Amino acid sequence: MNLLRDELHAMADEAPHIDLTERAIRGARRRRVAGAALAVAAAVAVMTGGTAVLLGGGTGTGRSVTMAPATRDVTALPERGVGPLTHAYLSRCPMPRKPDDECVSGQWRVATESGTTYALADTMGPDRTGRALRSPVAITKDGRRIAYYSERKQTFEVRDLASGRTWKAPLKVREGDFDGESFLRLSPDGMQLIYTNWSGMPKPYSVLVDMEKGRTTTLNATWYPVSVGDGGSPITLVKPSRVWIVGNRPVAVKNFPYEVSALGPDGRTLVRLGRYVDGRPTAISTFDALGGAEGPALRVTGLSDGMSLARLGGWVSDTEVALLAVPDRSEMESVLYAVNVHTGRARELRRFADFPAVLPGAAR
Amino acid sequence: MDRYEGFREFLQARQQSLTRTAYLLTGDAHLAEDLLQTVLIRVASRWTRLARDANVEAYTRKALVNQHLSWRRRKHVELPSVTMPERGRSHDEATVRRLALRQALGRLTPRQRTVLVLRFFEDRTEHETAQLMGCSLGTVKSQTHHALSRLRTLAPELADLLTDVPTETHR
Repeated sequence: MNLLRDELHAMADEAPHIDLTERAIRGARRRRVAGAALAVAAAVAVMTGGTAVLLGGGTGTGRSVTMAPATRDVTALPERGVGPLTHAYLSRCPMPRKPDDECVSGQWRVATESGTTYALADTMGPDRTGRALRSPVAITKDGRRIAYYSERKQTFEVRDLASGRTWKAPLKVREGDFDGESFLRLSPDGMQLIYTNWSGMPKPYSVLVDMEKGRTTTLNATWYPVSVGDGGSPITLVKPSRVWIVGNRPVAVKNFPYEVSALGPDGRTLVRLGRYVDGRPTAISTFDALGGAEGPALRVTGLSDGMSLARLGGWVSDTEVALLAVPDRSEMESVLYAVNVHTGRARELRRFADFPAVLPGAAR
Repeated sequence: MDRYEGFREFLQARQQSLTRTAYLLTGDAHLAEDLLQTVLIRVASRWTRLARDANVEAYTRKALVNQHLSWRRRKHVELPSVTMPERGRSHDEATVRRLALRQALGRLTPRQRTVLVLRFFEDRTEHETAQLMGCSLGTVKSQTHHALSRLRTLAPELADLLTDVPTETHR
């Protein structure tokens, strides 16, 4: 019987496996130290422009301690002259939070290959007024173009990061449309965009936008968008137990997950995660999106210890697809691998200090 | 002896259970981690006194609920518009239903969501729920009733999930 209680327990099984013990103890020790320091400061500090200088500091050496602001400002994404992106992530405020902390979690940030981080200032996200909605973001496979919702223009925009050239979608998108699940997909050249909205609008809505020509084509909104090719084809869509490369017949598959790769360079191969152990995928398998044939499950090897397969992304070469693995322990970093679809062997591409919510060319 | 030795033992036994509750309250892995970390720092800071004078788990769970409601009241915490990556999903009918439930829970008020988590996930009595949420028994009853009604409105396809819960909310 599927009862609310059972479903809640099943959802709870998806909770992260984290160990916050040492972090909590470090936080508690900092509190104790800060409490002691503030007690001293109350007696002997000289407050100057937000900087507290502690005289004596308990060591008798006369050194000063500067108490810096807790939040870190991030520069807004410049209009041009930006190198390729490695990922987009959501900002997280430093912990523990203070009562007067104005930091807001959940705003979009992007990171470049050179290691610079920028804020997507014009796109919609949580703010200090209490708004909690966030618009989706997508990055082209080469990391050179980005699609985002322009709050000012009330529509999606694609920007070439180096030249600064932008293309505006011929759509009006309301903020309230993001009150639910919405998805954004971008073709490799960034000129084709799929926007699908499942719950923020009166009924599900999905549209293919040719950013260059300013044309829109309505798509079947009951399907989940995976990827779109340059020129608007092929479009790959999935729904439970079915996959469809538009223009061909949908193909039935068994338990097809939403976490699939982008369509392969051959125009027909998808990769999916599988062989679940303790609720976690341990293998990949290829799938012919035109014919329906599925290859054998291949155990993924070569991952660092303590890493779990999380999701698949774009194709790195004709035989390798991007695979994001997440750590079992929160102090470890997520890792992007290229995994060989014929052997399951993974090789490390990149590590992320912040969880990469959006990867170039990936269906997320 | 390390002043936090008992704290470590407590978390070794109870941390995953607390994480599960935090995850259901927030609906988001990152927020759950932030929420739990904030609460655990507070617990660790007061460990010596708590270990001596209080039911640590009850204190921690109450702090978890209060912190969650407090964050949402101040509206400094985002609601994810896109579900975070999850492990081990197979998108059969059951998974689609779970996604519908996840979305519907995301559209409840913080108190409605909290009352459902405490009553139907933690299997708390109405009295215990009232204590944890710091409200009256009547408020728990009405919040539960409103939460279930809203679930039915937001996701009629979930009706079969709610067959075992309606009567107790009308008492």
